[in-house]
Order: sequence, then C-alpha cells, then structure tokens
Amino acid sequence: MSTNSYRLITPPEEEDIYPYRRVWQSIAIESGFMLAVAGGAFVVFSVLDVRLPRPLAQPVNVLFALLPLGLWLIFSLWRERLALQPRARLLAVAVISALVASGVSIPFIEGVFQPERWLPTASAINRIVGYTFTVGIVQEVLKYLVVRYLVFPDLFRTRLDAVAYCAASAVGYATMVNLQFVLSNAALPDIVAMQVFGTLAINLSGSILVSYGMAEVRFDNPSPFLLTITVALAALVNGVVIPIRDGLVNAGFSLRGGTSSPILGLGLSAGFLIAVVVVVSFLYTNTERREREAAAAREV
Amino acid sequence: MTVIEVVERSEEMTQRQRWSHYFVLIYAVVAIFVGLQLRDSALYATVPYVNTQVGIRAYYPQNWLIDTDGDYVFRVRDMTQTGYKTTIEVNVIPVTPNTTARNLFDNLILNRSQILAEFNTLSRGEPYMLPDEREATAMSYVFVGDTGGGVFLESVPVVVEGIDILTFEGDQAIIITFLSDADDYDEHLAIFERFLNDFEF
Repeated sequence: MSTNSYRLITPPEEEDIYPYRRVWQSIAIESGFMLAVAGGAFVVFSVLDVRLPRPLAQPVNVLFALLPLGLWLIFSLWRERLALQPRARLLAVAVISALVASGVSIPFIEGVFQPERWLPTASAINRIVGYTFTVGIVQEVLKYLVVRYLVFPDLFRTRLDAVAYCAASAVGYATMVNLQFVLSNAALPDIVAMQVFGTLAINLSGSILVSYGMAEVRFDNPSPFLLTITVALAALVNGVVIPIRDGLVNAGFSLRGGTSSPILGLGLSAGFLIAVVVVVSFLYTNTERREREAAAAREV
Repeated sequence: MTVIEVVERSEEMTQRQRWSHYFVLIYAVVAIFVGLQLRDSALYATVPYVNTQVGIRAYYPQNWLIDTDGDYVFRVRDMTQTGYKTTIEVNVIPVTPNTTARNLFDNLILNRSQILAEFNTLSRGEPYMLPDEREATAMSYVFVGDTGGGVFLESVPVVVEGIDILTFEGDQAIIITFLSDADDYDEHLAIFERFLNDFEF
C-alpha cells in the first residue's frame, strides 16, 4: 500500500519588479566615483607631488571635466535602457542644459553680474547673498526651465522621474561649466579634479532640491509657492557653498601667513551633497508612504 | 515621404501647476533685479575724500587704495586689477596769471618723456567740458608701464593709456589724471567720468 502524503506549500511570493532605473543608486555611484577620483588626484598630485609632463596636463584636465558626463552616460543613461520602462529624453535634457550653460548662463553671469569683480572682496554675508542672487539664481532657474519645458509634466510618471531629469540637467550644466574652467585656466590636475567635483556637487544638490518641488507640483496639490521655495533654497545652496569652498581652497592673506585646505573644500562639497540627498530622499520616501497609506485608506 | 509621428496628447496642467511655474518666473526676475542692485552697490560704491587745505572734495571707488604721500594731493589705485593698476590722481599746481594750459602740458610732457618708456601724446589742448560746465583742457597719451610687481614678480610690460584734465581755479591749476591698461581703457573710463561728476573744488 502506498500512501500519498500531500502537503500544502506556500506558493512562492511574486517579487515586485521595479520597472524603472533606481535613481538614487545611480547618483550615489556617480558621485562616489567622482569623489574617489578627486581624492585620488589630490593624493597623487598634491601629497605624492607627481608632476605630469606639460603636454599631458591639459588633456588630463579635459578628461577630468568630462568624467561626470561619462559616468552619467554609463550609470544612468545606459542603465536606463536596460530598465523595463526607460525614461525618455534624458539625453536631450542633459544636452540642452549644457547648451544653455554655454550659450546663456555663463555669458550672462560673466558679462552682466561679473561676480569676480566685486564678490571676492565682499564680507562673508555679502558674498553668500551675492552668490545666491547672481550665480545661484541663474543656474537653478535655467536648469529648472530646461526640465520644465522639455519633460514636465508628460514624462513625469513617478516622483523619482523628477530626480532623474533634474540630475541629468545638473550633469549637463556642470560639464559645460567645468569645461569652461579647464579651457580658461591652466590649473594643476588635482585642483581641476576637486573643482569638477565641487561644481557637480553644487549643481546636483540644487537640482535635487528643485526636483522635490517639481514632483510635488506634478503629483500632489501643494501650495503654489512650494516650487519657488525649492528654487530659492537651491540658489541659497549655491550661495553658501561657493564662497565657503573658495575660502577653504584659496589661501587667505594674513600676518600669520595663509594656508589653503583644498581637501576641506572637497569634503564640504561632498558633505553638502550627502546632506541634500539624505534630506530630499527622506522627503520623497515620506511622501510616497503617505500616498500609499492614503490610497489604502480609500480602498478600505 | 511623409513621416507622421503619433504621440500621446499632452497632459493639461492644472491652474495650481501653472501658478507654481509663474511664481518661479516672478521670483527669478525679482532675484535677478536684486542681484543687479547688489552688483551696482558694490561696484559703484564710493568713499569720500576731503582736503580742506587745497579745497577739494572727491568720491573715489570703494576698495581702491588711497595714497597721499607723493608729489600729488592724492592718488587712488585699483589694486584688484591683475595688470596695470587703474589710477586716478589729483594734483594742484600754483600758477601765475600768465600761465597757460599749453605751458603746463609742455612741462608735463617734458617730465614724463624722461621717466616713462615710449611716452607719446595722442592729443593735447583738446577742449573738455567738466560736468559742472566748467571749461577745461585735456591731453591724452600712452606709455609703456609695468604691472607694479617691482623686482619680486616677473611681468610683461603693458601699454598704458592716460588722460589729463586741466582746469584753473584762481591761482591754482588742477590736474586730474586717469591711467589705465590700454586694453581696458574705454571700459574703465566710465569710473573716471563718475569720479569727475562728484568732484568739487
């Protein structure tokens, strides 16, 4: 006699397949890689005092300036194509942001505001206010306008689409600013690498802040001032970080002598970026959780 | 061949979304206006200089370095310039009733051609109207100057362009000199014109 024993087994749980590229992961990888390169450049060229042959210096600097774009192409754009539902027009946002930086923002800031003529000699508070209302506001508003008119609201399917598009805009914009810095300054490679990371960090921080405002406006019903507040905050981040970082990177003159702390400037840029990412990702998580709870309550 | 692109109809934006966007634009315009005001107040800020002995009141640009120890009443220089330091200098010379502008300019040319390299006058004796409608005479010139690094900094000589404005007040001749790197002369001349606007003697 054979006995057949039947057992009830739990059916395997179907894993939720996330159909989009994970944006925070891409930003962390790209920024982390760039930070490591800048730190490595500091160790090699500043601590170990390695000197590049003169003909190699400029190509290396240009490579550093293009590195954020290269990393973004690999870890964001290429991985986007592997996602089930890729985001469209990411490359267009990055390219147009770069063109806007080159054709509008940089000429406007240098030709009209001329911050280098009056801000470096101003007091600390005046420098923060000055950079906020000149460089900060022009950068953040132009990047916002690119995203607003290229992809908003049609291509915003989830809240994190705002982060993806704003980050693409930041990378495109920062690349052009960095290229302009490299081509108009014969700086040492470690200084260039740290400047490149600093520009990327400021632009990413500002754009991530603005992305929260755009996502809220797209998916929720916030106060009409929320988006303006995020743009103003993004400009303020520029206004605070630029003078403090420059103050650390450039040696001041005093009777006791001056020492520069480029590594502290690098740390400051990284710290600001991490703080903004942590705060904004917390806000996103919080909003999405509230949205899910509200949806569940409606179903009940 | 005709290509017909089929796209989804664009999603209509809500009134609140539109106003969010308009507020950003309004904020941007206001912020840029504030930025321009901040720039103007920093770039065009002045500091008063009064010399009751000579009878001069002037307003020179803030952050310029003033010097009253030379053979002039005072001299201010923009030390933030990377090349030749843009300079405004005021000098007062006692004169007799017979002294003419030509005498003074000839004297200046003789002195300068001995101490300044490649000194050349571009024009002299040109009538010049001061902002308070007072008549004056102008002389413009060029010379080759250094960037002020002295023996400590290696620097390439630069072409300097200058203008002297000469006017008479009683038994005094007042010479107001403006010197700037020739490349930036036209741009910096506006600073000198603002200086002349506020100059009283």
